[in-house]
Amino acid sequence: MKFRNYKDGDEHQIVELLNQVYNNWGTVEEWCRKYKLNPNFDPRLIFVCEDKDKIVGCVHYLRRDLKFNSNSLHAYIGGDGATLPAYSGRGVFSKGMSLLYREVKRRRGSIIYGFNSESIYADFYRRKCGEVAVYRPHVLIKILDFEGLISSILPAANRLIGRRIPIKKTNPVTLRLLLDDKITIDLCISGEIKLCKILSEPDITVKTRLRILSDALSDERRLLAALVLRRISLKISGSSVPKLVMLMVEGVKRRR
Amino acid sequence: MECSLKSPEVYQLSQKFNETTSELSGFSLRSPLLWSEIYNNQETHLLLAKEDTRTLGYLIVALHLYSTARIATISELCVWERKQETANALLNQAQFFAKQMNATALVSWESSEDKINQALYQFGFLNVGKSVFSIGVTSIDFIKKTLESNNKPVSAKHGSGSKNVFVDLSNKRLFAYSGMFIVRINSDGTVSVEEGESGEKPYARIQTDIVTFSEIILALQDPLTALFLGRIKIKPVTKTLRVVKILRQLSNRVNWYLPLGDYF
Repeated sequence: MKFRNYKDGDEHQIVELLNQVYNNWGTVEEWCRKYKLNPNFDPRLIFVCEDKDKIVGCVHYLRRDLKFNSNSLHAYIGGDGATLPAYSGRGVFSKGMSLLYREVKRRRGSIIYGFNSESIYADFYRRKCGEVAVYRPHVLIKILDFEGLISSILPAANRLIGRRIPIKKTNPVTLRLLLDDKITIDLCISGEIKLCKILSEPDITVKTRLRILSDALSDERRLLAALVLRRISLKISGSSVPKLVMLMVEGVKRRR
Repeated sequence: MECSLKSPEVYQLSQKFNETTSELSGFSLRSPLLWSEIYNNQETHLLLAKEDTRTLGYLIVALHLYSTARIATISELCVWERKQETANALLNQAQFFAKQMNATALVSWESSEDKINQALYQFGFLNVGKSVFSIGVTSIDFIKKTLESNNKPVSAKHGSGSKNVFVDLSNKRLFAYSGMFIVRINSDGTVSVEEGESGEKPYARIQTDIVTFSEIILALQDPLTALFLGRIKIKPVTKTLRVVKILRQLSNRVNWYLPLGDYF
């Protein structure tokens, strides 16, 4: 594997990589509008990792100054970064970031900055890069079409967590979400999570308010608190208990 | 009402953002150029709240595709008159445009202003977690700007004259800045930072890493806690508590704020 800066024509392979990793990331035209046509575009701030002439990883940064106290900081903002799943765990992204830091230090830049989830920040950006989390804005959402939103995010959710679900396709679990006494979402969980129509009694029924559910899903401790305080009511049908116990045992075995 | 991102009014609006957030850090200063850079690849609407001819605030709503989900993001929401009422009027407009763009949800980040947050929650926004904004220090410039811009008088009670504290951040494992510098606390209480090692014997020596040091000077971590956790070493040991006190006085809480539009 070798690392190098972006060169003209790479955008086709980069976009192919981003689409493989993020599913439906976008088109070459969109990439060009975001990076190449950006007034601050600089090919030396884009690193790609090649294996046998195929781009398997990329790191994008752009120059963008940041206000700090009464000053302006010479800063660089993080853009799209990706590694082909087959190459994950081989230090591709880490090497790309180390090259980027070296380049920014050479330019006497003040800081590099970016946005991440808590776990990615803690595992990589803090531990490996030495970055400091200075601001954690709450993410707020107003749902306009609940069913449309669920069905559009399920493919991505399945890619992320589907492998971890210890439920076989032959023995699916049905889950009914009753939200705010007006929204009913039926889900069927087998090798993946699917929207469905449950005709008999579901295995699990979760009844709560949407606000409480979204708050609980944002943090494991909040979820536990909501369950303990019965802000989320959980009903398991009697006939499903043996099946769910088996699944829990299977889940524990997998973790080990 | 909607306004084009290319209209002449855009300059005044961007300056209003810079004025209303002048006490905060972390965002990119707004200008028509920055807006064209940020919003050139999205379906975007700039919405205004007006009373007669006076503009009371603006909101930028942009469409994003996440996998197959169509999400409308409130990239900027800036109000300067009758804040809650104006924010509410703008959110109504944003919802209308989001529905027109066939978005399944409207997403925003919390604001730096309580009244805007109240308007967001009253409008039905739900909290779904947090995003992390992190910075990686790449040169001494950031440390200088943090400590020198602070320049609140550091108490001279610790002894007479100026004090030089030598800081060693030479942790090569991290990609971020690693180096050595002197923090000079002058007798008038001002602070200056000089890279490298000076010939004179320092008042004390601190050994730590860039993460811990940055967290201390940004008041995100107490130096005594860092000391107990073994993240920082102070020599000579007899001056430990005095150096902890100096570090506490040097620390500077920064109020950060970034609109969702700055997310990249």
